[in-house]
Amino acid sequence: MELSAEHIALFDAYIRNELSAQERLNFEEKLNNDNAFKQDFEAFKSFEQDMFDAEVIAFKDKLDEWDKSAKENTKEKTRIIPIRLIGLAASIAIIVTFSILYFIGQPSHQDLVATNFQPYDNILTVRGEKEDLDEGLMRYEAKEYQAAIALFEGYPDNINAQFYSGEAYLALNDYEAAINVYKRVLQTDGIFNEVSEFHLALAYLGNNNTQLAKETLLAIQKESDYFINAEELLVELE
Amino acid sequence: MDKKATIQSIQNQDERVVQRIYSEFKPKFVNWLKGKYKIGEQDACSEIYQRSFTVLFFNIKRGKLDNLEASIETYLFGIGKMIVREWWREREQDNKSLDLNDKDDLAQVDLLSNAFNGNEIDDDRRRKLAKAIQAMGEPCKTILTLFYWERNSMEAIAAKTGYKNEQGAKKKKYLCLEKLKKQMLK
Repeated sequence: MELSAEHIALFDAYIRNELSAQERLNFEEKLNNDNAFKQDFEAFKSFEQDMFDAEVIAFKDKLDEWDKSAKENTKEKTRIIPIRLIGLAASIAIIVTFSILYFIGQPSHQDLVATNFQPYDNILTVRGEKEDLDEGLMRYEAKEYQAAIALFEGYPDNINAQFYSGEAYLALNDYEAAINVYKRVLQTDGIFNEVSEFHLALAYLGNNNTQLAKETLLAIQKESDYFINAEELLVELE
Repeated sequence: MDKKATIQSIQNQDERVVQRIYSEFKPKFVNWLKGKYKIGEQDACSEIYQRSFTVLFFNIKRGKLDNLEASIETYLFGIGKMIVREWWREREQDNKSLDLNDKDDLAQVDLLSNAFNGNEIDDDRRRKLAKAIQAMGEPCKTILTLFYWERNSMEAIAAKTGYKNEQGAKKKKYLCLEKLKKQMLK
């Protein structure tokens, strides 16, 4: 690509939207009618893109370096455990696992809920506009679920408060209350719908309503973030 | 360090801060990928984290997050979700559209797809280009970095580098590009 200083200045001005309306029109007309000019412009755009991307690649290479040095530091700190000890520990673990399975048998529905339920992180910005709601979210984060629920109750029409109270009820194993709340949350189209669907199924399961739990899991769409979790849980329920 | 100060430090490219938050978020992010998306391979998790963090870094650097409502961590995980879907699409040739909410902070995010989707030859050329820019003498290094990487206008570059006017800086930039081209052909 051999370009004059004038060409480069013109291309830059066009890309950065610095031309007047008339100049822009002339430029575009030339692009349409002059093939060599068009080819030069395409080559220039591709070069410009490379210049921008070069920075991204250089940054990513730096992250690689950081990872590499973090790995080396960890290696230095790791103690080497004799292979015989690893073998012994593995044998003990296998014996313990089989003994537990033999004596306890299949997990209960409530065990399955406990394994599959992770209270959703507080992803809401605390703005200080609704103090009780903020306080409720803080209590929720601190795992003080009963106190959080009491504060969320002041916001029966707020979908965020409703969702987090559902999470708090489920964390407290109050399945009936959780079911009622999730059903309300799912009546509107919001950011918590995917997680609410899965957690509603868990609440049904905790309540020993396997049929409704399965139906709810089966209704989870492939696009949902919880599709794989739902499929795995269905396999366990079978 | 609060959100505003962190954003400021990233925009100033304070390497210590960037490295600290990179290491700080990584374990949680990787566990999240393994737990939520069942991505088991460590290399895949590292690649997705690096991409997500790079997107976070450049969107902050380019001033797209000055009014960020969520926390930086929440935003990073939001980007992660988009990168995972893109990563899956690349592998499964799946053309499903991203289900994104236009109202949230993520609506304007630039996923830097062009930079990430190049082949090895593209990456090598860009790597060589980045090295060549960094190895250039002054004022070329500053002029090209300010123009392409900091997105300054030629007027601002003229003011920062002491040229009398925009035209002088433009002429110098042209000469710098010529020099860079020669460097690349070596």
